[in-house]
Amino acid sequence: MRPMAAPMGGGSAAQASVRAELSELGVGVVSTEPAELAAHARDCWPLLAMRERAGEQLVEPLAVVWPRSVSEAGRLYAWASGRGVPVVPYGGGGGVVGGAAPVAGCVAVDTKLLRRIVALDETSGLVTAEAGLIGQQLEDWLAARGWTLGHFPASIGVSSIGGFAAARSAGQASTRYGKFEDLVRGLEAVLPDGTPLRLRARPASAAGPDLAGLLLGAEGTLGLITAMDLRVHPAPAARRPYAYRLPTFSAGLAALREVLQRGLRPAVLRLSDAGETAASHADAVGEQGGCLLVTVCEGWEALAALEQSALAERVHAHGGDDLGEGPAREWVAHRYDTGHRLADVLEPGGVLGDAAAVDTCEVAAPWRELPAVHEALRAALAAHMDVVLCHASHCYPDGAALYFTFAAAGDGDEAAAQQRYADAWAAVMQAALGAGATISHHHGVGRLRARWLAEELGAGGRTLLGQVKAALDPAGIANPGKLGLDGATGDAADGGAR
Amino acid sequence: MSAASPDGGLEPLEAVGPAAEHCSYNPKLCRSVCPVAAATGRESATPWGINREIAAALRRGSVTEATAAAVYACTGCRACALPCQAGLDLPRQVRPARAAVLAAGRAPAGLAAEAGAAVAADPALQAGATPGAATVVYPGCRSEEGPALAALLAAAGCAYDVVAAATCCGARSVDIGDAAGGRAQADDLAERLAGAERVVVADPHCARWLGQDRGDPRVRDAVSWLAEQRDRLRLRGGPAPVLHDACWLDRGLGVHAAPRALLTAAGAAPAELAWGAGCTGGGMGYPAADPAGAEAVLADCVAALPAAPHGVVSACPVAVERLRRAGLAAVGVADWLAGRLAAGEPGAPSAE
Repeated sequence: MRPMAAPMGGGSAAQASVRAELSELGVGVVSTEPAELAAHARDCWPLLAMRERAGEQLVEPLAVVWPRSVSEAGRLYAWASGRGVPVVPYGGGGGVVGGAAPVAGCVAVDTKLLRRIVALDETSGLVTAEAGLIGQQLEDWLAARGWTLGHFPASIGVSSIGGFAAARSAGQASTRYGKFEDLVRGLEAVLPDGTPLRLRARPASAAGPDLAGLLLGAEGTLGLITAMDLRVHPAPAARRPYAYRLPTFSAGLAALREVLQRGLRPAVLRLSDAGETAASHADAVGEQGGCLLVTVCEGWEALAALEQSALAERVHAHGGDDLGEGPAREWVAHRYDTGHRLADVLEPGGVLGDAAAVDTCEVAAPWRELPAVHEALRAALAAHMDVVLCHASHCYPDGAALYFTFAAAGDGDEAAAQQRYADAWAAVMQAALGAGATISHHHGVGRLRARWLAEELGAGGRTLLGQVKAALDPAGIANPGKLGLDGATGDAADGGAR
Repeated sequence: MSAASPDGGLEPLEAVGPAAEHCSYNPKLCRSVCPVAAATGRESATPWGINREIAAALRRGSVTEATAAAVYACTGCRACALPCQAGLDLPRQVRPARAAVLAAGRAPAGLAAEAGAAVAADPALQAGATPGAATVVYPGCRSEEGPALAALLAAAGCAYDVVAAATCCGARSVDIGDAAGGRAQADDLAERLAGAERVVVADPHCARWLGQDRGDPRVRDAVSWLAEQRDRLRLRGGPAPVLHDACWLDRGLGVHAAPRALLTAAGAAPAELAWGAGCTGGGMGYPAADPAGAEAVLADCVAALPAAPHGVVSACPVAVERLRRAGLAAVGVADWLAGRLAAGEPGAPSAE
C-alpha cells in the first residue's frame, strides 16, 4: 500500500481548507490535484463523455480521498455527515449510469487503496478481499491458486469489486455462477454516519432480514462497502464452447427456458436476435440468417460434456442447427470488446460520424413476458436510434435478461445527439415498465435511470426505500442524486451532472 | 536539459493527439495491469487518465499542472499494451507530452537526475576488445555488467569492439521530455558506431530506443544475442532463480523466450510471473515525479515475486538496482550467466 498520507495538490481556498481539515482527521490520502479532480469528473456513462465531447465543463469533486482502512473511511463519513458534505464513492469508474459522477461540492471517496486480499478459505470456498480491488486483479490472483470468482463482466479490467457489489453487477458466466450479489456472503461497510458494519460470511441464514442486501445495489447511497467475503469456485477443468443457429428469436428463447428449467447451468448462454446476428455475426450463421446462440459449458469434464449434450438436445428440438465451436470461440476471444466499440462511436469523427450517440440498456423479465418485452423495447429504441442490437443472456429458471446496444449517427450537432439519446432512454424505460420488465438487470440506476426507479418500486417500495435512506443518512450525504432518493430526477436529458 | 519556452508550444503533442483522444473515450480496460494506478490508486495515472489529459491540453492549447502530474505518472512498463485494443504504445504517447511540459517549464523538480549520463565502456570490456571488430558491445549508462559481458564474450570466442569514449544513447533524456538533448546524444553515438556491422546493447531500454525507435537495424539486445551463443558456452547447472521479465525486453522488444532459453541452458527453468507484474517503478523518470509512488510500485513488485531463495535475475539494470535496494539478491542476466560458466572457461568466477 502506498506509504503516503501527506496531502497533495493546490486549488481554491475551499479546496485547501477541506484538504487541510481532512488531512488532520486521518482519513487516508487526500488530494486536490487538478489532474485527480478532472479524472474523477466522470465514470463511463456515455452521456458524460458526450457532454465532455461537446465542450461542457463537467462537475469535479472538491477533493479526492483514498481511505486505506475501514476506520479511515469511517472518520471520513462521520466528518461528512457532521458537515453536510456530499460523499461520492468512486471505485474503478467503470459504471455506465453515472453512479460515480460527482455533485458540486462533494468529496470523492476513491476505494482503490482498499485493495488487500485478506484471506482465501479453500475449505469453505470463500475469499475475503477489500472493495477497491479491480475485478481482473482478484480473478488473476484466484486463477493462480486454482480458483475462480466466476464473475466476468465486460468491465472486469476496470471495475472494482466494490463497484460490482454496489451496482449488483452480472458477469458473462452469471447463468452458472450467479450475479455478483449471489457471490457476496459477508461484507464490511461504513454507514453514512461513520458507523462500521461487519456482517460475517454465512452460507445462509434466517437470523432476521438480509442486512447485506440493503447495501447491495444501493450504489453508495446507504454507505460504503469496504470489504467482502465472496464465494469462489474451483477453476473449471473443462470449458466447452459451442454455437448454434436458431430459426427465430422466440424459438431460441424457448430453448433457453427449457435448458434452465431442466436444471442445466451452462456458464454462457447468449442468444442474439436476428438484427444483432445480421449486423454482427452474419459470417457465423451464413446465408440462412436466423439467430446466433453462443454457449459455454464448463466445470468437471464429465459433467460439462453431459451438460453440453443435454443442451444440444433442447436446442435441436427447437430447430437449432450446429455451427461448431468456431463462432463460440470467436465470441470468447472478443467478449470484452464492447467498450472499445462504444469508444469507436463516441470519439469525435467516430465510425458513425461527429456527435454520434451510443449506449447499452439491459433489462430482465419473466420468460412469459420476454418476447413482448423484446418487441416493445426494440421498437422504442428504433424510433430514435439508427442502430439497435439485442441479445438475451443471463438466464434463470424463471426468466432472462435482454441486452440492447443502440446508436445514432451524428451530423456534428451535439445538442441533437443528446436529445436523441434522452428521447431513446425515455422511450425504452417506459417500454420496459409497460411490458413488465425491470428497468435494469445489472448496470444499476445511478443518475441515468433515477427518475424511473419510483415506478419500478411502486408506492410501497419507494416509501420503504425512502424511509431507510432517511434513517441511515439523515444528512443526505451518501452519494446524493443517485437512485432518485433525494428528489433528484437526474436523467438522460438533464442528468443533474452538469 | 532544454530551456523552458515562454509559450510552451504544443507541437510535440499534435502527433499523438488523435490516439490520446481515442483512448479518452475508452473504458480504461488496462487499469488492472497498470502498476502505477494500482499502487497509488490515482485515476489520473491510468493510461486513460494520461491520454485524457493530453487530449485536454490540446483542446485548451496549453499544458498545466494537471498535464505534468498525469504524463509523468508512467514507468514505461507497457503492461497496458496487452489489453489495449487500440494498439497504443504509452511511452510513445508520453514522451512528446513530457517534451511539451518541459518546454513550458512545468516538469517535476529533480528530473535532471533521471537523465542519461554519458559513460565510457567498462575497463574490463575495453581490455578484451578487438579494435575494428564487426560487433560492437554497448552496455548503456546503467549497466554494471561489463566484466560479466567480457567473460561471456571471451568464453564464446566472440571478438568485439567497444565505444571507448563517454557516450549516452539518449533514451533516458527523451523519456523525461528532453527530446532535443536525447536526439543529440543518439546522433553522437551513431557517429561513433558508424563502422559496426552489429551493435549488441546490454540495457534493453537502450536497445529498444536505438533499434526500434531510432530504426537502427544493426542493434541486437544482449540477451537475445547471448541466447544465440549459448551452445558455445559451457555452463554449470544449479538452482533456479526467479526470472524478472524486464519491461523493455519483454514488452518493449517482444523478447520473451531468450532469457528463458539462457537460464534453461544452465539447468535453471525459472519461476514465472504474471503479465506486467515485474515493474519496479524506476522507469522513465517516474521516481523523480512521484518518489512515494515509485516506492509503492516497488513494494508491489516485491510482494508479487515468488519466494526467491536462489535470487532474482533480470535484464533490466534499473530493476536490479531497485530490487537489491529492497533487500533481494538480484543480478543481471549476464552477471548470473557468467557465474554459471564452468570452471576453466576464461573469466569464470572461481566459486558461486
